[in-house]
Amino acid sequence: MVMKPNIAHDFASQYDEMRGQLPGSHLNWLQTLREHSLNVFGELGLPTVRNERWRYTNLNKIRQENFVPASHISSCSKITLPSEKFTQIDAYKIVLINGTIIKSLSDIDDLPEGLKLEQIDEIGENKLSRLLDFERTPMAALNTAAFTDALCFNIRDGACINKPIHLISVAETSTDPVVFHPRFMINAGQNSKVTFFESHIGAKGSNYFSNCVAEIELSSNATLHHYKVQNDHEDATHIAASEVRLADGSNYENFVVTVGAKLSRNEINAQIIGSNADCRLLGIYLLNGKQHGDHTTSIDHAAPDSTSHEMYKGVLDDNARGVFQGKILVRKDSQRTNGYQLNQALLLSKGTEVDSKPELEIYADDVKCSHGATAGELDEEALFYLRARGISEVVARNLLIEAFIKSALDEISNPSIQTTLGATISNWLSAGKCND
Amino acid sequence: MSVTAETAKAVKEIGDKYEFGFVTDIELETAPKGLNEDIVRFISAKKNEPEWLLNWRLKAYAHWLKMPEPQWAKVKFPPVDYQDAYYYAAPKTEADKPNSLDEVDPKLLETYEKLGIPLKEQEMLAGVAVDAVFDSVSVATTYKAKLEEKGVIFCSISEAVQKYPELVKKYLGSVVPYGDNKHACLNSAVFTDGSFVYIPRGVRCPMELSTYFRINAENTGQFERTLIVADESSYVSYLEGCTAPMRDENQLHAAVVELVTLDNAEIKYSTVQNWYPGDENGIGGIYNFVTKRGACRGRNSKISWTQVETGSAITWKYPSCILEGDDSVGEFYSVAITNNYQQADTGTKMIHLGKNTRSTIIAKGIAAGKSDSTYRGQVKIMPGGDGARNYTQCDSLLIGNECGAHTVPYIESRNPAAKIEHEATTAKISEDQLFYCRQRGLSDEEAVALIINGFCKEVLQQLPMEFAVEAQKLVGISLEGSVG
Repeated sequence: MVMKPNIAHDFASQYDEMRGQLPGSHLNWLQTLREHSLNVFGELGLPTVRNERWRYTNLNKIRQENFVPASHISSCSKITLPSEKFTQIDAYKIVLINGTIIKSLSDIDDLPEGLKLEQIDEIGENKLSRLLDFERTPMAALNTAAFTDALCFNIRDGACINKPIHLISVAETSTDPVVFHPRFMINAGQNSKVTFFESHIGAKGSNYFSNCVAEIELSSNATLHHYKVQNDHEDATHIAASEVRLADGSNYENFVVTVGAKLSRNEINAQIIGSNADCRLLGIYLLNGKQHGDHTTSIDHAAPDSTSHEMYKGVLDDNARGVFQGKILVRKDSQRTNGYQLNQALLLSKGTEVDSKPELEIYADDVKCSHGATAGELDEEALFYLRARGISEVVARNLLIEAFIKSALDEISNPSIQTTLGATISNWLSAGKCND
Repeated sequence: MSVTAETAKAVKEIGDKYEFGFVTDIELETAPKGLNEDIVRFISAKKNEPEWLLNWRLKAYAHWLKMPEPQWAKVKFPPVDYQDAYYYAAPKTEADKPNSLDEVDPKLLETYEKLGIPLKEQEMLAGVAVDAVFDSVSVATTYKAKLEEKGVIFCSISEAVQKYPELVKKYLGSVVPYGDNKHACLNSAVFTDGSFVYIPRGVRCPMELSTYFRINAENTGQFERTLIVADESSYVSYLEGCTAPMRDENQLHAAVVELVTLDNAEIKYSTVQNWYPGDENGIGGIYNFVTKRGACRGRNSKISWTQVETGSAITWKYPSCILEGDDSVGEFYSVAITNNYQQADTGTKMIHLGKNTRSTIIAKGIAAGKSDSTYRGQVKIMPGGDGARNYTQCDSLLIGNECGAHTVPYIESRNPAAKIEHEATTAKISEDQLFYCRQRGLSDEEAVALIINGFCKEVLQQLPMEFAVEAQKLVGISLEGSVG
């Protein structure tokens, strides 16, 4: 396979040229930050499988494609997706097209008290990129150098936002494959409570590369429920990294449903810096065809008396490949940590592959940490039981798959979101793929 | 068997000093310090090896020069100065090997006695044939006659090269090729001795075969090479045990063990590893870089690894099974105990190639003091592994808050008809358990030894009887000073 060895520099030179045109170019701090990020990315390059964190995910698809940066000017006029895509749930909508906010489609002026949306001019120095470690997430360096809009959702101390915030990232592409870099931050103030819903969708017949970065910070006793449906176009590449920091008593729940994109990676790095915090990372991946879905998480217990809970369940069909890498790090003084991690994969056909690496790194003795991983096909006996009762094979299989997934779905605290995500999953099962 | 009494006694017997820390003073015939092509030629010439073997060694050496050190293990140590070690040392008795134990250098016998291996008595009492490796050359082999009667070949690998060159040539390097990893590569270039076992078709080896290894000369790396071939429908149980004297210089130990089972054959390989772990300040101790791998070549064959790892400053060891034959079985039972500044990165690889292959992994890691213990294992099911099955259980126990216990499993399945289950836990000894034991009159250390023995029971009971007792003692000894 011929690889472009200097792909990082290709990206770098593209963005170097257009830096002056990106939003916020008048801000000195941002210029410095972008320049630094670009240099770092140029040095680190696109991660290869030799990088332990990228061991199972090969980015050759990006290397082989000539992605051009999405133009952020004319995208408004090109919306081809039907409008019901934007109203799935009753929420405060924020619509991004190719990484750029579209004000006319967003509820930007109707935001409730307690929620303030800041854009790049208002965010201010030293806030952006604070949680990122480029060595760990090189793709976030590229995002920082190249994002068009950065959105910062600030939830005031004590505020309880009545409806979810719904961030919809839409890809609209023309003939050339494009690359864009959605970027947002969530700062949940003390004792605040908010639900954040992310949707990623693409127009038909499009090949694009969406490189998302989220920086999420929870202050003391904040509660953030963060849901994500990645239903990007079947030819697309979706690489996402979320950095989460949890202060004492805070509650973070993340649930991702991965059904889209040919190549996807959802990486979450959570750092627990306060005690009595609870971090829950959950997800379901349903992949078929030649899809590759990677879920990589790491939870850093840097404070005592906190808990983390992870559960990822995958269903793989055709030649799909699922990857799960999870790491729980318990630092020396993080006594009385409770950590749990589970990855289960259901392999429906020959040609599928699952790779799991659940990892524990523990330096404190008074802890309870465990993980489990399983892989296998549908239980023949259960299938036989159902078929013996006159249920057709397709229905029986779908029943068993639904039952397999349900235990992960049941972990979602918000019942209406549970219903919404449940519907997405049922759709996938009945159509063989998600077509919502 | 009363574990408590046994262990408590063992713990008491041990003072502050490492029990087996003494150096036997024997004149050695040594090659000069350092490693180069001439040393490789010297070793080969000393052993009067055929040309193919010399060429193989030289190829390995040339490859070794280019190979990078493996960096992925979770162990830290200063870079090894390969030029600051001796690569060949043989006891002087090598020139004329003794015909019976009576002719063996009495000093050697004394050494074994201190280790609790009365070689003379073993012949009668234990029913175990011993191919004792003292430094690098086998000096005594017992029960040979009885084994020969059955057609079992059990000798040093140098002897096998002379006597059974076709067998050695066929299997040597066939499971662990010389370019496998840097340490195995070094071993291929400079291995001095080791054991060779061949069990002919249909033979059940009448006794457990055992080799006691011992590093003795100052600055002598140990490069053992073991090759065990079980022909169709044969069975052998092999024991390996290590103790080493106390010293400050770090010593390199890069052994290679290759196992081959043909149709319906079974090899059970048990190890108690108790090389010198360094003192309580982390000074000295053995670097134990071992490549152990078994190939289940035949249908319905089985390889079972059991290990109790308590010694060495650094353990880097992954006894693995390549399950090629349909219905073949791989097992890995491991206890790794680290104390003070020891670092252990150990685990296994189970590669399922054949249909209905099964593997079981039970790994128990116990970390105390300032040590680090890592389980690193891979289970890989290839597309041909229909009906393959794996069960993995890794449990770690932490004693004190300055140590670390880590679990790094790689689980890769390319076959939907395979079933993999993996679970791991990390915890400490519960206060309730300790309280319960103390209430019944056990001291802290006795209680911990008892609980740890219970924690490891699943693995320890896999060991042959003689080893099980020794291992239980070791469990207690290794954790000495870590409680209270």
